[in-house]
Amino acid sequence: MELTEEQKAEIRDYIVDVPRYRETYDELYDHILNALLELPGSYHLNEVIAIINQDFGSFSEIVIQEEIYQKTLTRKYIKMFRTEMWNTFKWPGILGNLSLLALCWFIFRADVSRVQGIRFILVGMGAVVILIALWGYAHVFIRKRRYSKRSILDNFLLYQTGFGLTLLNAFLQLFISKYALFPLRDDFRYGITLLVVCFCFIYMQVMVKFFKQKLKILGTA
Amino acid sequence: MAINNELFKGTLQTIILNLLSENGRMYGYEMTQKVKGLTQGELVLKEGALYPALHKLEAEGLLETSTEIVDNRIRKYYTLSEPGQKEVLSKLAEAREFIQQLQAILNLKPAL
Repeated sequence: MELTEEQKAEIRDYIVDVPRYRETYDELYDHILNALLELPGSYHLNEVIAIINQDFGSFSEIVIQEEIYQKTLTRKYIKMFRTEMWNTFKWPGILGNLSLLALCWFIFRADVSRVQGIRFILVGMGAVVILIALWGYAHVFIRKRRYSKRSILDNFLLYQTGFGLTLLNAFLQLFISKYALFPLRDDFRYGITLLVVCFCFIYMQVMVKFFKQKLKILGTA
Repeated sequence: MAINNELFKGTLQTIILNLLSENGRMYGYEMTQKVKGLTQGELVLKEGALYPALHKLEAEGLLETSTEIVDNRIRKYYTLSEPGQKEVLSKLAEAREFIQQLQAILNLKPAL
């Protein structure tokens, strides 16, 4: 059967609130339309209900399956992200990391006040981290506005950004802040701060690379 | 005589991997129609089982996905990944072995 734009809109309205993520919604909508196009006769919403019940079980079954899909895909992304991080410590990625470490070593050896140095580094690092976090949140926000639904990858992006910020905050509260739980000597604090800067740069670099690659694959960048 | 779908549950992944190995990239609905066509409608792949299997294979890294806009809607295509191409061979060997064992146990004769 041929479908008019109004009929397609009716189908979209009928299913839009069921799946939480765009991946499920797109696949479900495409499937229903493909099935309807092969059916003889004229359109009625009952046909859509029948397709959903016959082919997918029910709306609640779709939601259950989507939850499983989201969890397995997120686990896969976490694994891929870890592999990307690990790859920066292998040849030739290690060159970048060694350069960063060398730069930190020169900064450490430079004749500047430790307290001033820490302040300066933390402000710089904070600005970069916030910029990257904003990049992540902006991506999710724009894509949500454009597609009306969040993708599983967006979910992971939020998780990963939040994880990075929590890690950084924990480090500040534990070792660096005025009321640190484990106060350290200025030299130590300075050294650790520089090492965290290195880690932050690697983390952010991998994050941007990972998401650019994944968005390219999804074709929704 | 329609085939009991329960018999195919254990081989669903093999069917998917083999379909993709022979046809390159496919989308979910296309797979159901292909199976229906190959079995003259005797075997109907229920999407309620197909999509979870596809998603599982994707999460395991055996399938890769890409999207394309077709008739103003997003279509998700599946293709075999590099590990998927290796896996299809071992899955087929496993299925062949299983059918031989089944043949030995049930002593099936071709229907007249």
